Amino acid sequence: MSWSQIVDFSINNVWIIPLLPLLAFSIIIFDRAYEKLTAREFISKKEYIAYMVVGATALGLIQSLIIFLTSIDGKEEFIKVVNYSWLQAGTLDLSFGWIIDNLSIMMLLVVTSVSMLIQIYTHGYMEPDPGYRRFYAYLALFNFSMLGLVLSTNLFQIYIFWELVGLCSYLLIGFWMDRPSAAHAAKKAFIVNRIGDSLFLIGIVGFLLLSYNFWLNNDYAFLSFMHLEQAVHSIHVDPMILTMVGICLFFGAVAKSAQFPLHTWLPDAMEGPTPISALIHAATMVAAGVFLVARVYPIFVASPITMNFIAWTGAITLFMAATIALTQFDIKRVLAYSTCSQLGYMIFAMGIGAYSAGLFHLFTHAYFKAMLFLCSGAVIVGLHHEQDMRFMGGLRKYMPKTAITYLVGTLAISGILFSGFFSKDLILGRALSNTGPAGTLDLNALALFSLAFLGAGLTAFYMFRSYFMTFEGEYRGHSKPHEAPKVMTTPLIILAFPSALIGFILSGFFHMPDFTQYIYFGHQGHHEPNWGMMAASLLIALAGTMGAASFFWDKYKTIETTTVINKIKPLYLLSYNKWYFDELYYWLVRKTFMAASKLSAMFDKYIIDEIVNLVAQITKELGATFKYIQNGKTQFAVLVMYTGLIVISIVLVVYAMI
Amino acid sequence: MDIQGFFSSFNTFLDQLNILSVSLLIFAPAIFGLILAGPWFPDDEITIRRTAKAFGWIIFIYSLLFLACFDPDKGLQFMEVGKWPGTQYPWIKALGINYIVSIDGLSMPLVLLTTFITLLSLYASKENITKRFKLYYSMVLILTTAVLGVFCAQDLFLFFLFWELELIPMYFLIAIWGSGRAQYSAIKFVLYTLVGSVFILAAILILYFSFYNQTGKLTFDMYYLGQQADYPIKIQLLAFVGFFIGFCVKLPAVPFHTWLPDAHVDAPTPISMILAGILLKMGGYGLLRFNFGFLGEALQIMAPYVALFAVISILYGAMVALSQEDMKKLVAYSSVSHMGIVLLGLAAFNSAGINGAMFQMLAHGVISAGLFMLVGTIYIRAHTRIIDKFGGLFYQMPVLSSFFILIGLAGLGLPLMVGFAAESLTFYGAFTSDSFSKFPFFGYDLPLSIQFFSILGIIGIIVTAAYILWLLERVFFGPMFEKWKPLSDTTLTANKYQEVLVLCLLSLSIIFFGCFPKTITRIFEPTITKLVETKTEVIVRIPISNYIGVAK
Repeated sequence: MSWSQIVDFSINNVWIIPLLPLLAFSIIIFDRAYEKLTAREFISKKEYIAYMVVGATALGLIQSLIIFLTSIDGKEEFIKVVNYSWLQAGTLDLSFGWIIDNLSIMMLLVVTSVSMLIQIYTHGYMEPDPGYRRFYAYLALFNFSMLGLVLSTNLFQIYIFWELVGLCSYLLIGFWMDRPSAAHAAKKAFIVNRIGDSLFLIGIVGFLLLSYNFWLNNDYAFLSFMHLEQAVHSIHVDPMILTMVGICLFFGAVAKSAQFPLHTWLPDAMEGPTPISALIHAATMVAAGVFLVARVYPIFVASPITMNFIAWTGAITLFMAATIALTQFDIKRVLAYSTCSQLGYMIFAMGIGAYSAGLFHLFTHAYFKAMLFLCSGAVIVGLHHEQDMRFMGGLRKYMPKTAITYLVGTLAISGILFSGFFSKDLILGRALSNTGPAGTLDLNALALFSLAFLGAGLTAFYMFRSYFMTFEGEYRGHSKPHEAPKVMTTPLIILAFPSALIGFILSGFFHMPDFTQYIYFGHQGHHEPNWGMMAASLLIALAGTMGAASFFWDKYKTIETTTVINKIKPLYLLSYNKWYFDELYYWLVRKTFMAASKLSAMFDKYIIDEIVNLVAQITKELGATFKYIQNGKTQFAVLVMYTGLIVISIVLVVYAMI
Repeated sequence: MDIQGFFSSFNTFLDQLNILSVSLLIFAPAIFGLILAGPWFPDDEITIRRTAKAFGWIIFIYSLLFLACFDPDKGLQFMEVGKWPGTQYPWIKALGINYIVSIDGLSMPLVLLTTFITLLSLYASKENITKRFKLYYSMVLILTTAVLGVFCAQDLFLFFLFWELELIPMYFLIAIWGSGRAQYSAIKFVLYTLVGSVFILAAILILYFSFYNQTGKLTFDMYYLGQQADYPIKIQLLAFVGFFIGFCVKLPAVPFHTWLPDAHVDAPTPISMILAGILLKMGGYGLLRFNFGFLGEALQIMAPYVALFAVISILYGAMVALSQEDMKKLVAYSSVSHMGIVLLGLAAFNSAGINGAMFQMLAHGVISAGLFMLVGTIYIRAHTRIIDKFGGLFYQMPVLSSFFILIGLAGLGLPLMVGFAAESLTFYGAFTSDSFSKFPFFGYDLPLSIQFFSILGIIGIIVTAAYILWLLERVFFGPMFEKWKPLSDTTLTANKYQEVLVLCLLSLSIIFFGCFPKTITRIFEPTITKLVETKTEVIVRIPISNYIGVAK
């Protein structure tokens, strides 16, 4: 088999990539052979499940790499679309297929590589858990759904996989289902996502309504991404309507990417096992929102109001989540809010028109955030399921590999020279240039830029705070810490390389390949390095780091910290209580939604049903009253008969006279 | 031999065999029922159960043969002209009543659903029915005859006859084998449906006499009344309202729904399955066949009100379901909510919407049957259905819980399951419809278009997700209660495989038709699309741009 044959096969059969994990999933759930094994035998033989799932993903990674190498060969952008009709009624024709373009290739690479490493790590993390099989089955199902989402060709199909990844998230958050908090968090995640999804669906059908004639008159698959731009141009309606459709579509991304105001499910989702937090709630699924925005970008670009809405959503989220992360003590929650905040950066980038930069940040973030979560998992395992950073400290001595990789991740996310620096800098640079040429001042753009710039400083502060509290100073816990097993640390070390270097490699500086030349919207742009912006963002990151160091390096819980906290008590409480969003939503649901439901149930029971019973009762009473007419006496019958006759005759006579 | 060639030669083979008779399909269950019920049949529980199941398989396979020979692009098929005794038999000549049975694209899927769900409910009867087996099984089979008759009758009088016939076995099935307030619920069910039937009868007679006035021909034949007639619009509206009320009682749509929770709660599990899986579809079938098929112009005018009923059913049903304490009641109210989507598809009045309505009926048929089955399996183990008394059942009964989660998720419209395909088709249809842009309300034209009502319907799916997930959380997740320690998948060893068989068949059909919806829409899509085209030809369409504000 020659190389070109392999390439052709990989490209023409890209559906194999999502199908292999589905196959693994089916084998795991239908395999009943393990029932014959005793528990002890099962524990020693269960590795085959991990081999199968990891193998399926690894094959997918190899195929994606082959496609990737082909795609960078040619000069032109590489696109291949296949569509099959899935559901048809009259003129409506919804199709199913797959698309290969630079964006989906990038996502394929991210998803397969990160999931493969996490699946390896999972073996170490979940080994003693009785739900080992189930966990791998869900992981495989998730891989199928996520890869299907990435390869979707049209809005309808992406909605299908959109909901399926939501399902996997639901199943995995609630994995330890005997914990009420986990079950509750799973339900919350699904319902919050359903709110976003239903708006998303309204957006899809709304867009379909507007562009129906376009799809009908052209021979394209309905709602296909390739032709969105043409479809948007074919629409001639009030721009406000297109804006509303765009905002509805965007709400799909708001829920999935945990943006304000639908962000509350993500921190709770940390009830799931840590590998899931790394895979689904940091690297891949939550980034699907950004991916969606990138896919339907033509619709958003058509309306400046939508774009501004997107930018502000991102900006508010990135700032708010960063402030919350400052005061949390649960290591996973800090990372969760940091994910929220970084996703805010990506959405923000999309909104200000920094398309490539947003996706670049998605790309780099996937690696370093996955690694940070896996590090926190290693810490949690090493400390026998302790997640509170107040009982950590000084762990660098006990688990050096984890500490170093966590430090690499912290530097990357804070934007200090490692990969986060390059992608975040692109975003900030674009935000700054949006404020207009020197002399003019666009207040809107300036406000957006300031929030993002401040957020960068906060990021450095809270990330280094978590690093210092966990790994430096004195150990404050009780149980004896130990380094995680090799199967867990190896993926960490592998992930450390992309986390540190990928930003620089794809930065376009010093004759390096340029990410923005690979994925772009419209025409290929070329960006000049903005040295001033770089220096500024490096400075604010260093300032954040110094701030964190002065409070938390080696002297957590000192008097200085408490005095500072006391001085800004209301702000501290606002941050510590997550801006009271949970309380507000809980109150709203209780007071309005559940109350309305209770009221409807009462109305149904005591009003509608009672009316029905009343009608029956009246009929019964009437029958009971009039049954005495039927008394069987001949005289009475004759009387009634004659009365009737007389009445009829009178009526007839009167009628005739008139 | 390729697969197509195989099927076509199989078709010719069946044609030559000449065994496909719709009359036989309709009356075979009743004959089987009489065989079971008679004194000649051994009064032995196991024999009765096995024979009944065998009969169920025979009927199901026989209906599959019809599917094999069915040509979706042809209209009415399997007419018994010159083939079988009873050919278009003039029954009561003076009134123009004929015996005509036939199958077309509207009937075929529902016939299959009926035989399928009946078969499964015969399997599900094992643990739930513990007395008077002979009578029970014969009643179920006679009920099947009545339902198949409703779906296949091509004469309005015959249709009405079967429609009423269905009530009698159902009354006994709820009253004798039910629990709780079985008598009350059974009587309520019968009376409520009878009241609805009065309206249907009135509507039938309106059409009958109106046709007589036009042509001087007395006939109940649906071909004449449906396709040859041109009723004045006032007559159409009158008949429309009659049919609509009658079928909405059966569907059921709010506010005619209160018989449903009672009937479901008190009926035994297999009867609940039949009730939700098949009987509700009779209402939907009537709406499609008459309100849409016969009275298209009236539907065009009434579409705003149909949409209003639809949205109220969807939202109200879901809201009420959310605060139910009894699992079975919750599933019953979810039926109300889901059948509202059928009405929404009807109001859309385009091919996608009405195909979606049909699809939704089939989807709901399997999903609700599955949910009732599962509630029943939990009930016979735990002897309670109160949701708050449960918790953490997943660890005790992983297999049944997994099925519950799967079918529950299908109920909330998860993609790649049949409910999603049906709902999304309906919503896409409704949203792209131009059936109305103003809501006439006491002389005022409110600016509420079909799109507005579709948005409300879509919001209903959030509530659906809420009540199903909350149910799953309270029953299966969380800490395990000591009390439920003895529960397991295999509490009733003899029954385990039968339960799992039923649930497997249901789940399989849910997933298969959810992944490949074209396999099922192929059966009814050509018929419905053709109908929509003939109905919309005469009506002046309002361009969409008229009411979404074209930019200057």
